[in-house]
Amino acid sequence: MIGDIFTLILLNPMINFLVILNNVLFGSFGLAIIAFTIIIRLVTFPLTLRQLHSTRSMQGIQPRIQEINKKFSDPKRRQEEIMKVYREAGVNPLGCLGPMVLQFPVLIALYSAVRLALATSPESLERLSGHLYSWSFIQHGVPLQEHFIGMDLRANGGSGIGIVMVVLVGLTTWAQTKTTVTVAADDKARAQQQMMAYMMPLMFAFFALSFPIGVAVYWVVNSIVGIAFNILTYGFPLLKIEPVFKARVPAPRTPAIPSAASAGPSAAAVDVQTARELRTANGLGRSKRQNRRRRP
Amino acid sequence: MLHPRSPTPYQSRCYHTHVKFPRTLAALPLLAVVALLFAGCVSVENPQGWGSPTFTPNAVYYQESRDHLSGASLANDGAASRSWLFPDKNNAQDKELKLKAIYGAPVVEGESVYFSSFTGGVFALNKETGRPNWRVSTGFSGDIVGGVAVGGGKVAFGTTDGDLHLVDAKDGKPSLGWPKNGVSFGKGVWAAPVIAGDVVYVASMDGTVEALKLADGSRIWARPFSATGAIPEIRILDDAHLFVPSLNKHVYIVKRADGSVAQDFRAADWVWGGAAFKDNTAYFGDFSGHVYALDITTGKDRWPSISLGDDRVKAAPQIVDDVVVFADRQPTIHFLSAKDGARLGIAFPVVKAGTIRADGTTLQDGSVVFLTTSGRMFKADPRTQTVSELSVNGAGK
Repeated sequence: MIGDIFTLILLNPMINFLVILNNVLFGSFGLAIIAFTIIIRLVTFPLTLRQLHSTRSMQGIQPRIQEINKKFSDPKRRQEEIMKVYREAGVNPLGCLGPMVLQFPVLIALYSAVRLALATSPESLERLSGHLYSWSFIQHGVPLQEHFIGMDLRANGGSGIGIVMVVLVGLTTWAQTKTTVTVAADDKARAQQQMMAYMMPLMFAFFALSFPIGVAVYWVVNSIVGIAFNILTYGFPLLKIEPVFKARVPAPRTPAIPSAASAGPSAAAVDVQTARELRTANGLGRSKRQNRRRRP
Repeated sequence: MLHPRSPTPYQSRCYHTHVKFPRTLAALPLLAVVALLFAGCVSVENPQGWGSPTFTPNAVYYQESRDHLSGASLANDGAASRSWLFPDKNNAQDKELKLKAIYGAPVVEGESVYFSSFTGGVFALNKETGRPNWRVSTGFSGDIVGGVAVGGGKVAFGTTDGDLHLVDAKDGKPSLGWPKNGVSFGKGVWAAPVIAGDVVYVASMDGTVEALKLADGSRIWARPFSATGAIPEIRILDDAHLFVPSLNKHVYIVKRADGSVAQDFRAADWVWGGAAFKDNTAYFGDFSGHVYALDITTGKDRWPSISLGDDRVKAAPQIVDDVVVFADRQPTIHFLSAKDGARLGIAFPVVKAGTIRADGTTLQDGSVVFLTTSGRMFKADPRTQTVSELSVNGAGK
């Protein structure tokens, strides 16, 4: 049932749109994949932007959440305090997940549409017939031309020139990870992130070895668009690029922390640092151990 | 007091902070990978092949599994026993051989069985031993979908890269006089070429059909037949006509003499298969599950099209006496009256027997055999409208 709805609402329109693009773009399926990926990502950009902003906002209040976790051992109280922080910051804890969950079926459909339309075998072409609309403009377009700049889009990434695409998949995935991941507070988290930054590209490059090159083309374009979105939203300090879509970032609000206006760009770092100081000085905050002792 | 939603000076700047990466976000890429793999698994079908079996009076040659061709002897009582399997896992020479799938029916000519595989090339096997006399795996590019045509001492095959090649049936060497790199067409050649006398007919996925001289590959028709959709099949109906189905949902009856259109018939969906032919009527099915009886002299239905169900009809039907035997993909075998399309019977071979995409084959005793994608053969008897399995001893081992 869910599969049928997914096919009817997302997959079939995408496949047909892909075939139309192929026919419009001089019968070049490679160009169609590139245009198709860019268009779909642009259409879903509002969702992506919202997700990126939500993620950033969530990251911004993490020091305060950490502090609350350290200060309060009573789960109820802790929850109340966390919710209070969320309210004050105007952040929805599911705000970054919502758009991502909404985008997920679109991305899966996008990927499936490329794979199906490629028709890597006669059976795939036979199956494709069930997804195409009856319009003659579409029907006349199949099977799609499988060659693009010297590559057979149906061939596996591990064959011949396809290895270039495998490398590109790895590189662009890595670049996307680098423009997304922020520096962690502690060594353990930093190590995890560094591992992720290298594991993800390797993993996707490995997958690209067995996927058709057409799918690799889609993945590379998708990653490049993702990098562009990240830069537009987060900026890119290395190249001194300022973010174009500036998000509202929650203001830290702890009595011991100086006002956000004077905190400057590293307010969150100060936040973390202050939390540590509070705990060691036995000031306003209490350690977990202390709180445990106070329990009846 | 700062309003929670009011902006602050530092908020307008790039916000690369020293914060911990949330665990939920770390899990999302993994979720994405799982989803992609899931999507990948469910959306694309691997090559399986749909070559129909070929029978001789005392043997059958068929695709036992998707990458194996089998030869079986037939006893007088109809019992079949496997004689050989190719490639043979016990033979060191065959270990690196990957056929992947067989889409065309094997052709038996003299002492050899000729067939092509999707990625393995073209083979001539000794029909008694199943060992290769020769193999053509180089000198062409692309895969082979259509199968081979044998005639005039030559073997013709087309490739998905759009070339038609001709080799000598004796030794597999390129045919003298034929263009060295084959005769090129715009898109892939998916249909098995057809040889009739000294002419070879070839269809291309760019929607053209051409008649070439077997001797040198030169064009015979003044202009090729051209359709707006891809042509994945081509069959000879009689001395004067070709059956040309297209993915634009049309079926064309083309004159063999000059490539002109005798009839243009519109079906409900793609027609990708052959036809049974009798009394100037072509019987065929389409991907919407409809079957047709087209009178090629008038271009009209002999009887209104009939829907067999929702499943695609890809296998070419067979006509025995006045009964047309259709098989849909499910697989279900349908017996229809050739005269008026009346349903005479219906039979479901076996659950989980695979799907039927290979053309039916008529035996000398008047029964029709359909091969499923799981390598099982089912014998349909038009007289009793019953179906039984044709088991091959030793198959599947």
